[in-house]
Amino acid sequence: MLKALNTESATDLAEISDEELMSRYRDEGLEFLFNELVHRYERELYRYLSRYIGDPALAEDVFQNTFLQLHLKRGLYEDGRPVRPWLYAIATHQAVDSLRKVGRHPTVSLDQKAGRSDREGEAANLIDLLVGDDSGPLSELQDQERVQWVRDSVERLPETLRQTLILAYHQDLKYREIADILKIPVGTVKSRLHAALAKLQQMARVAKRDEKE
Amino acid sequence: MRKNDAMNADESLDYLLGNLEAHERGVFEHRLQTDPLLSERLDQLGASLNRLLDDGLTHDPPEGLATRTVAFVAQEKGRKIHRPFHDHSTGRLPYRWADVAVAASIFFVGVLTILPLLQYARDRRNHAACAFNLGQIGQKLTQYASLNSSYPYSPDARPDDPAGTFAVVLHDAGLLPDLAVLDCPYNGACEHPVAQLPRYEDFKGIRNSDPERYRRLTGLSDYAYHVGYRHPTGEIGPLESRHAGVIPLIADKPDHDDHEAVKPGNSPNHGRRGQNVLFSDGAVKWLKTRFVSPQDPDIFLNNDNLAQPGTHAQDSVLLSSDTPFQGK
Ligand SMILES: [Zn+2]
Repeated sequence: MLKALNTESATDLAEISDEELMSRYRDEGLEFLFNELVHRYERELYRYLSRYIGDPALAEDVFQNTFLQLHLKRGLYEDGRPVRPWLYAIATHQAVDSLRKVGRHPTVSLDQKAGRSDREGEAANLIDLLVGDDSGPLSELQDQERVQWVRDSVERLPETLRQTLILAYHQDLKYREIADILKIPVGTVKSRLHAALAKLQQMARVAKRDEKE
Repeated sequence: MRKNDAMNADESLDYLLGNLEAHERGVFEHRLQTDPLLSERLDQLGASLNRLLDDGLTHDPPEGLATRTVAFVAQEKGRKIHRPFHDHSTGRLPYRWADVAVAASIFFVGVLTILPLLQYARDRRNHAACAFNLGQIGQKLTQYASLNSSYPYSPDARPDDPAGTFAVVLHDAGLLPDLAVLDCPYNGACEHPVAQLPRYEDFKGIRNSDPERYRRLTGLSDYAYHVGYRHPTGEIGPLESRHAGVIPLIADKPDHDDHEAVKPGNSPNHGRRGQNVLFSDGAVKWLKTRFVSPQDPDIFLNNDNLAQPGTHAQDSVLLSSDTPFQGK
């Protein structure tokens, strides 16, 4: 019976937007609608959680709990509200929670300064930094060394910068979606992103200097 | 001019990260065609971002993740009370065998999709069972330490006795009735755990009389044990009971190369993803790396990077049961 329902709906399902799926799941509670949402976000959300948390097993737990929360909170869903940022917000919340439970406390202190500074001038300096440094301090590293450097260095970023960086660069989310997920102004998203890049570039320079010594 | 550069800079980054609106994008792309300098800078910026951020990881989801998730939620729906998010540090796990059976009966799941599901449930159960084992041994170690001045060590104070002697000592003290707790159920390597342990007096004798049996006995456990540290007198000796604040006592054992040296990386017991570690306060934690604390950066090596007793009381070193207390 359930299977028949699944097969019947399979063809049209792909046409339905995330938002409509969510509204219908809220109202009708049918498994196949939920199933479709989980499958749509399987790769994308797992990639996010796995990179953010750094532990595949824990990422899987958080993934499962994120969708449990989506199910439990379905009554709160408002028609037309974009599902992607909502889902990411739940996932991020669950991820931070789980990191705390395993003893990694994401630092929440941060760059209040950055939000207020002159972003335009800052961006120009940042780009100068990024393109001006001969061919970039990392270009001399072997690829294997470089990716290891990236992993280690991103890991050392303050939590909020790392979070924003992953959402913007690796997950390809728009600034306003990130703002929605993290409940911060769009300007803060940009300043965090710039701060993250500037910090990484600074670390790269230091790494290069150390190597020369 | 400066203002203009700033605008370009901001826009370039936004453009690369896909954050320009359709019309802004059109304008920017037109500028790119007419301004070779801008276009060159954009290429450099793109390459620079890639060098700085590409971590070479793809993070593909494990097989059947979505299916397991739907089953998990279906099963949670069935209960009125929601358990809190499970806590890795205690090793309690939310998804067990029985749960899979329930989920499977609720859902139509083909045989092919349920197999990874069962494998997964088995892994999770074994992971929890490993933490349980460590907790059991931990209680006995605590009991032993409260009755003696130190944690189990070679009764003859012979640093060349194997670290696994701790099990013989516990057993002699009547504190290890069930030898199955010495086997990490996750790895499947120690399929035939030692059925019986000799007393320490006989254990010593076997070393010369029956080297083959001695070898089997010393390899008895999948767990590594705290081999003590160098005391201020210069002698190596056991972890003293009074020192045990929160110190790792036993853990999934390290990996060894052909020369029995400790290899880098996590324990092979859990697919090198990390190790379960029992601390002297009785907590079992899952450590994803060998790092314990700044005073003790490597659980399997001492602060001189050797698989030998610690350089001080806070520098814990856990060695495989067939490695001597004094290390290699
Ligand atoms: Zn284990």
